[in-house]
Amino acid sequence: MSSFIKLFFKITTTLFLFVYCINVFAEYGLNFPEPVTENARDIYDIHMNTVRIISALLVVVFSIVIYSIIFHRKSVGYKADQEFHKGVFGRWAWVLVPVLVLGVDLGIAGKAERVLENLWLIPKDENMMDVKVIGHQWWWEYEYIDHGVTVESRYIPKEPSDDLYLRDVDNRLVLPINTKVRFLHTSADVIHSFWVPQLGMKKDAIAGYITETWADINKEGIYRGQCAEICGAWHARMPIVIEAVDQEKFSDWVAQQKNIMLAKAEEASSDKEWSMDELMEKGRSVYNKHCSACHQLEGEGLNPVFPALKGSKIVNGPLDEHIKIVLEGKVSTGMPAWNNLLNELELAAVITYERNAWGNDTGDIIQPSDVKTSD
Amino acid sequence: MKREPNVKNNNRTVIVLTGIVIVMFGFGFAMAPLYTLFCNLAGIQTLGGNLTTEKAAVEDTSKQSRYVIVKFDSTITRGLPWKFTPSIKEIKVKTGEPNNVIFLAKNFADESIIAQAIPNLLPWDANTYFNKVECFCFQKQLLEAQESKEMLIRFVVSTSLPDKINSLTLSYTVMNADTDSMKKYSNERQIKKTKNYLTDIYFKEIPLFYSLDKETS
Amino acid sequence: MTNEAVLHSHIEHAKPTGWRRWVCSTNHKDIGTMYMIFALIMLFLGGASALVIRAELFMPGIQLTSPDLYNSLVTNHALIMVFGAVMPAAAGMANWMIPLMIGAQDMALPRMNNLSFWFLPAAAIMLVLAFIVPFIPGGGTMVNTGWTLYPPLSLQVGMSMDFLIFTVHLLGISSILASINIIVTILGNRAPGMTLMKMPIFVWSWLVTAFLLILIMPILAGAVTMLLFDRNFGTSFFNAAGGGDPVLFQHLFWFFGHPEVYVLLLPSMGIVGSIIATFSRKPLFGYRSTVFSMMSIGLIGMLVWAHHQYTIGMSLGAVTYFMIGTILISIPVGLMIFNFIATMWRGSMTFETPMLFAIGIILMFSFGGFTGVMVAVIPGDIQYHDSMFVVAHFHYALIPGALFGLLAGVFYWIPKWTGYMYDEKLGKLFFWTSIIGFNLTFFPQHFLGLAGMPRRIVDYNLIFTEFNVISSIGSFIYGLSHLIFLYIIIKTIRGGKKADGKVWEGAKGLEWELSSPPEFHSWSKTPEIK
Repeated sequence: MSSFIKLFFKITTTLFLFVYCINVFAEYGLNFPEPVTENARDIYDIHMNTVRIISALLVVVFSIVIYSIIFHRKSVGYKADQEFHKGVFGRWAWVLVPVLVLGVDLGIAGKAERVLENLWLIPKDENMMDVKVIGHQWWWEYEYIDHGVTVESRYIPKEPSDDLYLRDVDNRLVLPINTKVRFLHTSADVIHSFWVPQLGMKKDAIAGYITETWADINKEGIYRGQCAEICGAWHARMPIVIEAVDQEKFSDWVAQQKNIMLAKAEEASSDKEWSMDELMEKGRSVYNKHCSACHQLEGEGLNPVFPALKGSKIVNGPLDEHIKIVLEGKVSTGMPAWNNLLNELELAAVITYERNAWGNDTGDIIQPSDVKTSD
Repeated sequence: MKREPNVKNNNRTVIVLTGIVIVMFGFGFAMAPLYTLFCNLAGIQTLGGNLTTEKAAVEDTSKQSRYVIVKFDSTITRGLPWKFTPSIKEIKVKTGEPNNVIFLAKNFADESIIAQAIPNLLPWDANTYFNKVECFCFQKQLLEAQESKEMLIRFVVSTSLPDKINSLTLSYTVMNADTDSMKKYSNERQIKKTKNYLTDIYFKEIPLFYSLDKETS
Repeated sequence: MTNEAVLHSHIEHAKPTGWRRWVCSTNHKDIGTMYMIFALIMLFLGGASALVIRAELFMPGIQLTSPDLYNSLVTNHALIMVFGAVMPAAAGMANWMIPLMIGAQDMALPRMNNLSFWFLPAAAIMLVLAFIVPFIPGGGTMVNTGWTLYPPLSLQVGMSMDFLIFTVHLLGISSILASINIIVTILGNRAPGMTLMKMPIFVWSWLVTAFLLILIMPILAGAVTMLLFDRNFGTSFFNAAGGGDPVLFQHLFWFFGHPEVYVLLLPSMGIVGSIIATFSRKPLFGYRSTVFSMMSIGLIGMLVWAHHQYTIGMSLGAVTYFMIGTILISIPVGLMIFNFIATMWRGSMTFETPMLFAIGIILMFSFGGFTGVMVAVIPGDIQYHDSMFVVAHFHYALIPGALFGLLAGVFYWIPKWTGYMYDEKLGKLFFWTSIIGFNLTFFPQHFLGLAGMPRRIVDYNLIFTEFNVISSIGSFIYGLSHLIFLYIIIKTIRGGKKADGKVWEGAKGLEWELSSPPEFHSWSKTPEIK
């Protein structure tokens, strides 16, 4: 019998250690990443509070069951107590247990309720910064409503062994710290979900709906998240990267973005003759950004769905057909009509790049005007 | 075994079951309004409720009229080659008085397209205090090929708007109302050509803050 | 009683043989057997798709599948497990055991019983078609929506979605017919003296489940029909441009989906209750309160669906209501589990395989229930929602809560069904491998979710690698352990130690008064209950 008691104590101490471990885990990356807003910290506290309560209850349940398994077994000669359920405990357990559970429930819910209000209701400050987050298949668009700046944020293809594989984008969502930012969430197609764990916010983006959340980041840094609602094939390739900077840097960034937008517009509308090198350089960046997800960085494709461009008949064949397929896409495949997705310069550059990269050596230089004529 | 009562019973069963089927079928049709009703009661945000004209806000005459800020915003969804923006980003309006705001729309496609604008008001609890007297969102809007149009919304913010709310955001999501047309233009996901604010002359001429004289009718 | 005359003439029929015995069967035992064989096949199909999913997630990078194929497997795994494996298995056990337990000669509506089973293979064929069609040129895209089928994504999918919608219809009809049958049998065919409050707990659990099913299945059928119309006939129930509302589908789906969880759970809890009483050699503690907690689980379960949608944007009042309601479910669930533990307390326990499973269920389901309280609390759920934490949570609730319960039921009743004892050693081996594999698979997923890994993603970053590797290894241990189970079943059917009528020492109830296996038509002489 005494060996059983020893065993029982061993098991209970292990379980208590387990609970202790859960608290320690918090510091070893097994818990939430470090919260950087007041809300995220509140959420973290609620989380730890609930974890502690349920761990304690779990220990109680496990201890009782294990005690019972050890002592109330037939092999140690224990006789079943046939009158147990008729005793006082048996007659009143149906009141006692719900009251206890209700008490625990209220303890958990009461604390959560206070945080919930803070989380759910947007502060009514007049000088909040508005950012509209639009989910697309499969990238994010950030509209800085107050600044007239729009940022398109797309996934950057990387090797799976890279630290930032699936977690990096070309344009980050730059936000000032210590500023209350109101996020407006909506979608241009299917349902997406904007989730950045360190900011403690997750909101579904539903086309037709606009919903709001808010955050006040109080630490500079880069915070990463992902789309959380299944949105089709490349659901895994919708990273979110937030770069929190101080006010001054943020103003610089806004000015810079405005210049970029101006330059882009001018570039696209000018009638300049482009050289091979310029087109190849530009073409590479366009290709890596838009095409390499399917056709791969080295143009080798992804059999059997995405054909290789390296040595492809179309890419090395007549120019007209190549331009046509890029411009109009291919029905019922993943190939979209790039005609309306890219401007003429980008189209000309990417076609030039495809015809002259990775051993394709047609030597063709395609000018923006060439693309326009076949439009 | 007696046959007679059985036949009678069977007839009654058939009648009762047919009745149940009809009621169930009717219930199917009643689902949509019931859902809206339920959500209004439960405080769940729906889209259907926003399209209706009449709102049952009680005017609180004892309350002073005050100024609130109304912000405007618009989103174009995939499959609609349009540009659609508010002519003004935000205005200060007096509660209880009608205001006019114009949204600018342009169709960049080479064919006519019908679209539906879906309004959303933030914060939601303000919904009952925001009366759209006249709105382009009450019906579908048709734009001919390359046509541009000014679209009007006329609204009153009720005086009984709770004091804690002093800023409203009215956001429109514009969707292609024709499924086939939507599919056709879906391939052209982000319509770069139409998206560029600065190269497009039509929108270039609109100042960032464009204030309309308040009409009193 | 005119029924009696009809039944007697029925009983005098010779026992049909050959394929007619099965295809045209009206015998509750044969139909029950077919249900369970169907469920077993589906369990392996769903398990196989789960293993492909885990194999894909073994390492970062896309190795085995394509993103669409992965999503399609995710969809199929859920649908197959919920509608193909767990529900038919539970219905099969109801078919087999309820008439034996309540002293009825057969199910009340034997022909409808046959019909409700034969809808299932048809549904399974449709489901397989939905999976295969996209591989045929011109077959459109795969069902990449997950089992929730949320529009507008499900409006983008090709014709395989329509196949899936019809699958859901057939499955729905099947479960509604089965439920009607079970309700009528329980309420109308009990032996004299078997009052409602004397019924075995398993029968009670199925009575509540059957009512739930009848209430919720039409909602799902209606929702997917609306989806079908939106996709093919130009309506706009869920299309915002036409005045519809995509969120309406979510509400309808979860109005079905949340009670569905209890549909999966309750029959297994009924089984666990009877097993624990048997092997503790002691009556079930708090029989009345267990029955009432099952009822209130069903009732409250109908009222809290929107806790699956905390992030869609609801008003503060609405989310508060759903949070409080959801947390309140822990009261009846807690009471039920407490009663099971109290039944063990001061019992005289032996640990055969069914009992091992029952204890495993109590411990792990408690854990799944506790994480359930965590995800019910909204501030926390903002983080957990749609992450791997949720995946871990509902597998901890559903695998012990539903699947293990059914497995325990198989071990508990298979001597009764076949007349032979199963191999106890192999049974225990199966228990330990599956329990270790299960915990190894799903426990690490909690950490993945907390670290920020969303669910239903085909590919992930390096930071999530370690736990995914552990989880994948665990899943293969867990998945392959079912081969032991298959072997045990086949071995037991083919022969072994003969089983007595009363298989277990502590077993009580009418079903143990019959021979093992019972005659083709049992209870031709109605028993009397004192």
